[in-house]
Amino acid sequence: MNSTYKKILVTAVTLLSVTLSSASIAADIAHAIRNNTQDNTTTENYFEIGIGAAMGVAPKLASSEEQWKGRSLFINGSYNWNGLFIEKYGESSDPFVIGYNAYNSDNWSFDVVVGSKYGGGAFTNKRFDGLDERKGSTMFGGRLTGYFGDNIFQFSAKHDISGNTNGFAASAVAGRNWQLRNWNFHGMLGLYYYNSSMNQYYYGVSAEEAARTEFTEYKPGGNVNFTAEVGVTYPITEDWVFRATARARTVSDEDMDSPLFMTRRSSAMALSTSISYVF
Amino acid sequence: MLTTAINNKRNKKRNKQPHVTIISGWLIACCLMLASSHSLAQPDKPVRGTQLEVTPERCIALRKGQTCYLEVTFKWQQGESSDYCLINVTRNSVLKCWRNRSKGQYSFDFQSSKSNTFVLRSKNSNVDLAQAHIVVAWVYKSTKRSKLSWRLL
Repeated sequence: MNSTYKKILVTAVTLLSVTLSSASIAADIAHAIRNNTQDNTTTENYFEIGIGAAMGVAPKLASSEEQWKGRSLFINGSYNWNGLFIEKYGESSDPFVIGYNAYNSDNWSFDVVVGSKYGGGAFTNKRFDGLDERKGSTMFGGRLTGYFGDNIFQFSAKHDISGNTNGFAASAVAGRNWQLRNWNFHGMLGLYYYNSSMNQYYYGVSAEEAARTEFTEYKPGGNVNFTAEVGVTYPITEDWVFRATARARTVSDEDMDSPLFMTRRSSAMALSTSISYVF
Repeated sequence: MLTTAINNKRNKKRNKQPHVTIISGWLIACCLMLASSHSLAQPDKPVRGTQLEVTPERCIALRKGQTCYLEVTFKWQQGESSDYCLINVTRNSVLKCWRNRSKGQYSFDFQSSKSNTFVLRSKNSNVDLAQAHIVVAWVYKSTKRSKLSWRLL
């Protein structure tokens, strides 16, 4: 494997590892807040392709360098049919989500959602030879979204129904947008909880794994991470959209005490920019 | 550039006098050519097509229903000097009026969530001489949810 592919792999591993404890659950609120959606709106029927560049610092599983940078080709899209919807917001690192809109009022909306997350690809590095495979989780649960003027609140609670982790995750995110001429600014604050089952599956090391590898046994508990995001979205034309985003999040000790991490940090930050073509 | 010029049919009719002889027609034509350099409008002077241009003509918002902002400039030209007004027909408001002018320019900060139509109107006759549009377009079309509904629970 040449150095280019190694860099791509390391970047992918980093992004996937960040996903576990990042703001990716807020993909839907992130999309709504970016689009300056002020009302209780349905999932849009749209599709877009974009290219982006990003850089940042983050704890890493398979690199001693905490800085990272990369380019990406991503797809955003969603489709709604009689309350049944599909969402794919690539920029948010949140994979495919299928949902059903169960309740609506002027200010509140409740969706039942299911989607695969996290994945096991982060542990394909040779460093993790001998460890059990970390498979993806299929998170099933509810998503409650409130719309109050320029503010959007979203609460979610999900359980892994794949049987891999049997874990539980919950989040509370608040976002607000501001329109300055045709520039659409947004800000979000989030709180994310992962229970011990999820952390132990992905970041823990069992006694059996410790016995056959160099990693020490580790059993993390549940953890809470805080996130913050600011960004701007600008419609260049009817078809092209520019976005720029800055994100920061805390990384709890439950994650950083894991022997699986090579680079340890108590926070992660990222700057990204992209341009998308909307069909 | 969107340019919509409406020729005044009344003035066109004025050019077709049925009882004028060929000689007198030439004389009138010569007089009109000479009079074209005068600042004051002559009664028999033919009015050229009025032009009303607005640039830029498209305002792009991120989402349908969002207010779109655009610095626009209107330029108009009329065959004869008179009193004219630039009017936003969509909002039924007068943007600016000119007195005894044959051309003009006006810039303003357009702010609207929907397309607007503008006309150049003769102040005395209330005749629309030319029309221009500022089109408001958007990238994402969001649809508001129904007011209150239970689908599953």
